[in-house]
Amino acid sequence: MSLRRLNAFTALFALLVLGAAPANAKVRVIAATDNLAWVTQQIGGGLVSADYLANGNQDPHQIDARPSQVVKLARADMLVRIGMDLDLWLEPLIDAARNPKISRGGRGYVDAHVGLRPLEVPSGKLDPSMGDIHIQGNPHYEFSPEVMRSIVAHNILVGLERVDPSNSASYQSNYNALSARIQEAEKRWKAKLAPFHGRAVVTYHKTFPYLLNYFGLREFENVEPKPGIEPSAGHVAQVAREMKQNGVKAIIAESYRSRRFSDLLARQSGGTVVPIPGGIGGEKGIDSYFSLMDAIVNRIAQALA
Amino acid sequence: MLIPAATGAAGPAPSAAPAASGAKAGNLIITRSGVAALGGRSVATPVDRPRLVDKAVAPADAAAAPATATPDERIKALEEQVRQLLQRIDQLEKNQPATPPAEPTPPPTETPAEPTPAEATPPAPAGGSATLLPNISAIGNFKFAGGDRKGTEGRGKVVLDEFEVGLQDRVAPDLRLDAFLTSDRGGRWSTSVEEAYLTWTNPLSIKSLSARIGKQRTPFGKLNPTHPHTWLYVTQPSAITALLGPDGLNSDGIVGQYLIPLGGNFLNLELGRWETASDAEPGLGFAGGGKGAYSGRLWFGKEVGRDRELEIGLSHYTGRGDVEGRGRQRLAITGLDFTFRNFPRAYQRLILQGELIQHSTGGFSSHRRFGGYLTLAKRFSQYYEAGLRGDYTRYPYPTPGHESAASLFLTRFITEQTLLRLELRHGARPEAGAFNEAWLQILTGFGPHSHNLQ
Repeated sequence: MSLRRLNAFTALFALLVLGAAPANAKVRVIAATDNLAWVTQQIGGGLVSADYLANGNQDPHQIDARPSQVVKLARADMLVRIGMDLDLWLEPLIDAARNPKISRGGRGYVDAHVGLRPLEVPSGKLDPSMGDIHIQGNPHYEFSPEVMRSIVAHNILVGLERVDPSNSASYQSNYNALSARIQEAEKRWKAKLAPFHGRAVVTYHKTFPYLLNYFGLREFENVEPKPGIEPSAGHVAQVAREMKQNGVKAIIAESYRSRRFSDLLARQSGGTVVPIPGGIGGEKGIDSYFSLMDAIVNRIAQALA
Repeated sequence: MLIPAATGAAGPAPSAAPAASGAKAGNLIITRSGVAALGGRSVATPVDRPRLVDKAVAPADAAAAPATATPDERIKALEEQVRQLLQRIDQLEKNQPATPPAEPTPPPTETPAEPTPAEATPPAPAGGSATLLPNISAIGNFKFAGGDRKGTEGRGKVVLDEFEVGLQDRVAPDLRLDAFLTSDRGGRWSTSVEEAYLTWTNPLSIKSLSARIGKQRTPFGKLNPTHPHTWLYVTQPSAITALLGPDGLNSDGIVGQYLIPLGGNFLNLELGRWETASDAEPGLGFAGGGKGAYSGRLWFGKEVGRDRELEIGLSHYTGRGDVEGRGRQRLAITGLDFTFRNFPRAYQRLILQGELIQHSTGGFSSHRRFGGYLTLAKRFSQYYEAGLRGDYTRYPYPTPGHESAASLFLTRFITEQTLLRLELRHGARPEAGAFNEAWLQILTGFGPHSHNLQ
């Protein structure tokens, strides 16, 4: 074998080996959303490198599976998913990644909602004519600070301790600190919306039951006639009439949605559209769960005042 | 005042949380002191881990005492709220549904989320139950074809073009079974197994490796492995029909898939051995593989900026088959495909995709025939997508002639599982000359249905 061929072979071999070897000693975690990645990074600290597949500017129901996501999952030590059928787009990615650590039942497989008693669990006969129904209950629990602190963060902690038991004490300490910070922030969030307890709001999609329940607000109606179904002018007009009759003013919608029907409803009802970031990174300046909830709470308070 | 635990109350129940004294995990505890301390609003007093109150038991109806009320008036208002809470808890405990269900609650068809190892088994979601049923789905592909030439298949008819039933589930650790039964119109209705294969992930504990065994759409190119109901358009590109066959490449065999580590880039290698030939018609398709065929596909993918992705694929398929008037010959097809995707914001997507296919007969350069397509599609809202496609192909040797077409398509998404699509097509075929076609498609279905990443 000539020297040139030997060098080329060695370079290729090194590329394959180095490509397979971990770049650093950090625990690699891939989360379905940026909210989950943020919580993971807070608990993991410098021991963890957390990335996400869907950001706050995207509808988590509709994420296109792509090869680059497979690469992230193939190299991950842990996966944190939303579950409850919201992230079904993860399934072909997990299969394509062929990473036993993050496959269902693997040590690094974390379903963030485990232990949650979900809201809006449907009963009776369901079918697609009812719209996009989540049969395990409403999966948008990320908008409840209490669920994020007591359920999600805890499940992530358990996952990290399982994947990296030698650093369990650090993870526990970070978790306790995060939990305390969130609890402290919850006081100001609740105080901000306390004057509006019991007030009704309209939401675009059924995204906010956990948020509304947490702050004692009520979901009056949805802009969508059924989940995932495009609104019609007739439905918007009917909702506008009902809003006027009941004094409902606020229309809460994720900021990644088209404003077309929300604005139409606002014009017809005299209400105000409250854009809510879909998650951390959903808008400029939203770079933590605290800034996300600050924005949400402040905007709702302003709309209801 | 201690309120009895509400067994039906919804709210987070941390799986590993130590139970508060006198209460079961996931139940609500309210104390008078806690209520008074929080200014008259009935909320859970944090014991160890706070519990959320399902909105069904939130005291939304009881009026809060005005700020100017006396302490006695405030206490009375609070007691009224608590009384209403108790009534609602009683109602939940009696399990009275808000509306009577028409039928008993069916078990969920999706595999329930499994608990992570070492976690306590989470409580079953209210309204659901465990099931051993697989993921069952059905998809109906309804079409209407209009055209000014007789060569348009099904011209003037509204038909169910294809009906697909999917049965999918994990059957053992690292083993998954996917089966798709298809009934299609063809000459007359027939039902067949379009795909039924077993996927073994990480065989012999080899990371990044999987093997797929059974009848399956051959991993050649970008479009061939996919099912028609996943396409961006109604009609199949001419090059696929002419060079791979009206139903594409589909046969029994085994394929190994390996994710080659290449830094942060995606590089997937698939090598297959096939035992049966795909369906081919005289002058169309690929007839090689009756007594063994081999395939290979190398699929590269790379992020080229946030929310932008480029993929390139190289495919090859070879086998021996009968060629009209030429006897048994070595046949081969080679393909180059590329896909560029851009996701500028939610619900928006731009796809540029194309394939170039070479069909070879007997290894003679004079017997090579080429074909390809190029598609540009833009999804510009949650409910609409539009695009263009250009087709060109020659027919496999020794069939003379070529076909070309240009298509314009528009899709309206009604739900996540139902869509309406219009395709206008103008082209030229040897037997029909210039043609104009209009296709209307309704695609709908139910049940959880998934395919491998493509």
